[in-house]
Amino acid sequence: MPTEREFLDFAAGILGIPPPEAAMSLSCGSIPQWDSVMHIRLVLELEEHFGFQVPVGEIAEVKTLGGLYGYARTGK
Amino acid sequence: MSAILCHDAAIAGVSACVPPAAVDNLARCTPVCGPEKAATAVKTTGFRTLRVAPPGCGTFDLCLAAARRAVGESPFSPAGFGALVAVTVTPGDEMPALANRLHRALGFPPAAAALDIRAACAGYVYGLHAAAMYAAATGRPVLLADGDVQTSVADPADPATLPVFSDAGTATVVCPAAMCGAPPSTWRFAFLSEGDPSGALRLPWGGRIAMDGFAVFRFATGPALDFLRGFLSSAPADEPPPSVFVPHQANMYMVRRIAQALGFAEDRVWTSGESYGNCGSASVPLTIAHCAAAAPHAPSPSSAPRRLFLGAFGGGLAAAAAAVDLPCGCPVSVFPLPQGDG
Repeated sequence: MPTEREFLDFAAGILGIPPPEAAMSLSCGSIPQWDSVMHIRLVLELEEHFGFQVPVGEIAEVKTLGGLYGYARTGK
Repeated sequence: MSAILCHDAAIAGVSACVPPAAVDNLARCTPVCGPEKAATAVKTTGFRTLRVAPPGCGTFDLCLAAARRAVGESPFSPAGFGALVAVTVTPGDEMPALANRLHRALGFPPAAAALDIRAACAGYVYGLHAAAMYAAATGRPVLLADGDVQTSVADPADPATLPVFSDAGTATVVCPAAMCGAPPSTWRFAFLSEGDPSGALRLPWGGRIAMDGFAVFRFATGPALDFLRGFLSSAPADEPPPSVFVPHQANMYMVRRIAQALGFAEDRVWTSGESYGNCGSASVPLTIAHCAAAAPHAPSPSSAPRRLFLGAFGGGLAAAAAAVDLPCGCPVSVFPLPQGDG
């Protein structure tokens, strides 16, 4: 299971933002970089890197880094 | 789930004609989206290369080339066909219909019906159902043409659609099973239409395709996935299990996740999107031709027909599913548009 910091740092790299700006409350649409196309890539990259899967029906519903981290923590 | 059964139809050939040049998706998107967003688009879609019709090449040209190949490789002469069904959202001229123009160019008999179907990404399954019904009703082979030049209606400055849409024309010959020596079988179809009040995927009259990626993703992984799951679980006990899943090539990540959710291992999912992008409804027959040509007997070495589970979803918002047979040895091909045909 990744630590919060590991998770946020990796997400920041995908989003192209400085790591300190990546917070669990950051959400899709709240910054220009995180649009719907980036959202799918973010989920895909996080899944590949940390070895978990967001249930397919929830991919478009989970909108915050904190929500995604919840899946990373439980591995599914 | 209510399903529609068609008895003793057979696929006697599938051809796909694509624009000649494979266009690198990253290079195509970079000037519009910038390097980072272009990389994101390619990673997200999984489409490494697209096919873009050259100027002057329309849906008619791609479908005609595919149709000539499919009819030529079939045991049937144009004069023997009973109907021509065309599936497209980019027919070129609205009237005469694409089907009427193909019908004339191919030399089909005047009494053979010709009509277009507009059903966006789910269109091939609708067309296959119509073709099977015409084949049964006329006792003759039927040509199903399915194609689009989507790049002609995609905004070249829209980063949501530029990395996605691609062009192809396909032709499928459907006939009564006995006419091509295929064993008797029953095909099963089901359809879903939800309407699209929020405008998730729209092509306004004379305008450009507009797509709300989230809304389409939500439909595909929600109602469409539930519909496909229901189709599989409601199969009659005597229906052969699907050999392979042939999904609409909406987006490779989406396709992989939907296939996984339906219980298909990777080697039982046919794809073509990596090389050909999302060709709209034509992505299903293009994928059939691409994968069956590469592995004529996959996934099993037997000579029994392969049972294909077709799953398509998208504009409408609509979805369609079918369980049909693809005989081994059925002629299939994907080829570039010959020079001078565009």
